[in-house]
Parts: sequence; structure tokens; C-alpha cells
Amino acid sequence: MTEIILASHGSLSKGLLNTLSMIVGNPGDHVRAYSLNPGENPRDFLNELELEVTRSENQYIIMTDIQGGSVHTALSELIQYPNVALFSGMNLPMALEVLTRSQNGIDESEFESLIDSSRMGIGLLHHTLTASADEEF
Amino acid sequence: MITLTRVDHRLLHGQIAFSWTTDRNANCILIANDAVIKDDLRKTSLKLAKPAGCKLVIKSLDDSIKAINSGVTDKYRLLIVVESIADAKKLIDGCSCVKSLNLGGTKAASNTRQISKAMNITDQDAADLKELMNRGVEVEIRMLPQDKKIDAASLI
Repeated sequence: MTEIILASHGSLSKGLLNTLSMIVGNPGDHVRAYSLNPGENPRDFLNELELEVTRSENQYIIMTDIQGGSVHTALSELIQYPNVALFSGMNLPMALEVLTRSQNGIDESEFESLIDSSRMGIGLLHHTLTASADEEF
Repeated sequence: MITLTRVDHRLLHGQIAFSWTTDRNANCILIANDAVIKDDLRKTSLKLAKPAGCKLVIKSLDDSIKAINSGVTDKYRLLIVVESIADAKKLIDGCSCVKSLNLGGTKAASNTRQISKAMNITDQDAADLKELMNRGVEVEIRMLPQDKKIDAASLI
């Protein structure tokens, strides 16, 4: 079982989870969103999560808003545990990939391609771009 | 193999494209439509909705029927999208291998009645669907794969 955690300053994580649910339906209890609000300490969530992670055999995939941010920095202490993977710069393509692949657990060897998928989700459309070639069977 | 044949007046759009291709594990989408093949702007926006790892082929109804019957699509897990019930009827008339039709959404107009949240049909549509059902084609109404399947027979 893979536990998925979206974590951010403010409500980006909750918003992303909301958008995710619109696309794939209710993802279930194993997907959670954590929001750091002004005045709160991310280490409180870190401690809570650390207790959980160390008592569980589940895989934990955590996605945060931005590397270097206090949420990411606090949660980065969890990577000492082999069942945790921490991604930053979460976007909807990343969350979708993680959710889709998490059905069977995500092997470490897949992490790179997961990052690639997230990056490929960032695109540009502009009126000067010419139409791409049509595909055939 | 054909994993889904769907009627959606918006053809392909993000949420739908991703959900259905994931649910069906489709690796190829066929948009069977006579108007789109001549419309570069519409084609460009449809291509945007294409999920990664999935081919998107856009063909006229006739060419789509030919392609399906020729067997060239057999090697794909194919998702077919048409714009209207009339187009679906034409496609299924030409391809007897289509055994199930998913109704996703059609626009309301002055001559349509609403049979479900997103489905608005004319009398001709109703007649077409009844004929398909008599032929043994399953006709079900569902926006997303995780929604409950509604048998169209009860609503027409």
C-alpha cells in the first residue's frame, strides 16, 4: 500500500487534491493533503508523520510545493527511512502519475521517469507555433 | 481491440481523456469526425488533450470505418470518440464489431430533450439508439469511468 501525501505552504496541497479528485474521482484515504498555515510549525507535521512512517511497512510518497521551502526542508528529514520518497515542485501531472502508479507500489527505479512525466507536463502554446503532424495508425 | 466507443460533443478534453484512457489502459484514441479533419485550430486543441503515451488519430467517419474494418487498429487498445449519436450510428452501422456505446454528453438544442445531466437527444437520436439496442449494442450513460453506469434503455 502506498500512502501519498501532498504538502505545501497554504492550500496548494488541498487545492491540488481537489483538482485530482475531479479527474480521477475520490482517490481514497491513502491520499492526504497537508497545509502549513501562518503561525504553524512544519516540524509538528514532521513529528506526526515520522511516528507513522516508522511504524508502518507502507511506502510513503510525499510531494511538496518547493525545494528549499520550510515544508520540504522539514519533511526532508524523513528520507532517512527507506520507505519514504520526497518529491518537490509538485504539479498535477506529477500527482496523477504518482496516483496511477501507486496501485502496485512505486519502485525506486521508476522515480526518474516519474520526474520526467512531471516535467513533460509543462508546455507552451503560442499563436506562432505551427500545427504538428497528424498521427496515423 | 476497441476498449470504448464514446459520444461526446466536446470530443476530447483533459479530464475525460485522462480518466478514460487510464481506466481502459488505452494506447490510441481515434476521433471519428468529418468536420474536425479540416479544422486545424480544433485539431491543435484536441492534440493538447492527448495523454502522454497515447496516439491520437483523427479521421473522417468513412475513413475510420475503413481503418477499423481493415484490422489496422486491432493492435491498439483503442478508444473511439464521436461527436453525436448520428455519427455513432453511422460508425456502428459500418463496424459490427462495436458492441457497446458510451454516452458522455451532447448539447441541448431547441429540438432536444434532456435524458440525463449531460445528455440531450432528439427524436431521431432516440430512434437511432433504440435500433442499436435492438441489434444488441449496449448503450450506457456515463461521464467518467468511476460514475455509475446508467442503461440508456430506461431513459429513452
